[in-house]
Amino acid sequence: MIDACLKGDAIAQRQLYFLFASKMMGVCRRYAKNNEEAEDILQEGFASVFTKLYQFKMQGSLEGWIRRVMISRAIEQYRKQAHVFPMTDIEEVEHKLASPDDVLSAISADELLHMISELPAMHRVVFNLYIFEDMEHKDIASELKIPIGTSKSTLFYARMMLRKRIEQSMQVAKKRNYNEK
Amino acid sequence: MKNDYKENDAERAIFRAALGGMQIEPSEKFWNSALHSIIDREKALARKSTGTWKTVSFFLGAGIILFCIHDMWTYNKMNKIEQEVAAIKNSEPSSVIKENTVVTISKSNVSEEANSRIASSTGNSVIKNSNTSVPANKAFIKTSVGQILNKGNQYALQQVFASGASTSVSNSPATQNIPNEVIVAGQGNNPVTNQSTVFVNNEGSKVTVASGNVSEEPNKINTLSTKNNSKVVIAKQQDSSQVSTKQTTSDSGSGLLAMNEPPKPKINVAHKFSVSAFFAPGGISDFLEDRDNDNTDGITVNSLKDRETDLFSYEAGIKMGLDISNKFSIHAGLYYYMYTYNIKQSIITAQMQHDGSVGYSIVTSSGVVEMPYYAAPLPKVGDSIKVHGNSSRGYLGVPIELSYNAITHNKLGVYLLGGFSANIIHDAVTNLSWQNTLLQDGNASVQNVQGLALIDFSYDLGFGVTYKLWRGISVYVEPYLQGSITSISKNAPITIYPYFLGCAGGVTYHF
Repeated sequence: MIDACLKGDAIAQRQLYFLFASKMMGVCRRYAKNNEEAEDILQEGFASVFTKLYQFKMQGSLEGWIRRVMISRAIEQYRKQAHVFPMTDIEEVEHKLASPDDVLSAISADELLHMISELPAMHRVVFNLYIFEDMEHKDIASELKIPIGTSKSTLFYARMMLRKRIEQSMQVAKKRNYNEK
Repeated sequence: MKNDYKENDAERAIFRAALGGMQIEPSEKFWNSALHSIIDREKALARKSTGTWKTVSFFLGAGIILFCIHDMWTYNKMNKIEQEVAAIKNSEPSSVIKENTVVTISKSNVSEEANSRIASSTGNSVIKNSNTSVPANKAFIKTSVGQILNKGNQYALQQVFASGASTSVSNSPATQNIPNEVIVAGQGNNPVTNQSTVFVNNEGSKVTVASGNVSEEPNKINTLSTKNNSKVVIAKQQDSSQVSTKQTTSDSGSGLLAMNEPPKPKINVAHKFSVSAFFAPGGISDFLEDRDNDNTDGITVNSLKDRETDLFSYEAGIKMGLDISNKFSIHAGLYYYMYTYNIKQSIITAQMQHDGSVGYSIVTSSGVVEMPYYAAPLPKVGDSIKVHGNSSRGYLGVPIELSYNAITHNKLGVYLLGGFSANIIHDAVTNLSWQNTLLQDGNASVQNVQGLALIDFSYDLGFGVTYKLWRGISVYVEPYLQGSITSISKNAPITIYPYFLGCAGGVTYHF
């Protein structure tokens, strides 16, 4: 299929597109503010995939390569946007978070995704790169062309915002459970 | 701060567990958009391919035309140079024609001035002027005493006035098939004396002796027609001492003197063969008629027109030609036609197929195509799917054509062309991509079209411009229209008469 795509076979490209669209949509969605933005990134990402497929050396997973292309597109999308760094009052945030199991049992994946979506664009990108792509701060800084210190502080703020949102959601969940009992 | 994150990386655990392998189905709108995006991409690729071929064809045609123009310009220039060289070689100072001397006349002597006149009235002078009363491009040579000899030169005499008791004109240029006209007339009271006015004229030329000037001695003027259809009017009695010709008896009547049998003219060979190879990119379209005027069968003339567009079509082949006269030629050969259509995204419904099963079929410009469909559940009558793709048909064509050479000028020629062709289907392929309502999809390549006619007939009309290169090789450009006379499909709800508008570029070898 890759060979056919490289030869410009539109049918093969279409198959490739449909094969990875859902998975890549999941990736794009984490970097995007909403579904529409995620679909834009996905569309742009696949356009890049088809034009740069010759760069894929047949080593490693094609899915991984497409995923990196999508993330690159997401970062480009982030660069297009205005970056307003909202100063959140993090003094009010508790630094201790409940255990992951407790959180996961109380909060759905959709809610967690929504929380990421609500992060400012830069925080969202840094958080995703650090948490999901296992990138170090120096790599994130290099990718985003920002100082390492900015990457660290951005991640710190992102974490604090998410903790605050998680704790709020946990409290709501507790109240709901209490009322139900 | 970093250590704190590493040691207490609760977020990593939470978010990766919840969202790490997340898959999200894009929206229906997005799928449609994506599908269109890919279709647009296919169209763009097709347009690019077609555009590339059209561009190549355009530049090829332009190149041929430019080459022809350049070659013709060079040819004319060389011709002019040759004429000038010949003029220089032959331009002996002709300021004086002495009495009873032999003067070699070539057109180049006077061609510099279209209406020049060389005259020798007393035998010892030449007058050269521009006399506008003499038609253009006709050398005007007048002598009353002496001899005009045009022998072995490239050019024939165009117009000669000869009078006097001892004049003679010998006109036998090297190029025998140059027609010319020699007028012999007396001047006023000094008529032609036929006993002493002698012509040796090349075959195919016309010599007119003005009757008014020779009527004083009518018994000495006879009309003589030589063989081979030359038109010669000549004086009966010749002075053999001045003309190196031999008198023979003519077959055109008694009492007439014949010239010696003139040399065989160079007549163009009446029958010439030629072989040509050509390539003709173009566009295919269809003249459609609703066979049953039934709008409920899922297809109408307009919907089929909207659904299909020309993708890339061409014709190529070889043909033999036979010149049956100077103007007409017949041609026959073997052509290959390839017509390709793009099928836009359409929704088709399942229906009963010819073998009794329920399946999807689509009406194309080739006819009814029944599409293989491998998806669960099996379709029921009325189910629908989206399809798009392309279809192509290849034909072997056996044409017979008649061409008429309308204009011939130097190396260029313009001709009209018409003929008929029997077209035998060679291959028919329909490539379809489908997607059902469950977003299952697949591809199908169908090499069978229900009811596609094995053979159909078409006419072709066109015109062409040909340009001779060298040694019987010529190139040509030929825009033409080829239209089907018979429908190519027997059972489609639409009657289909394709027509192809193309421009052939080719090479011909004459032998």
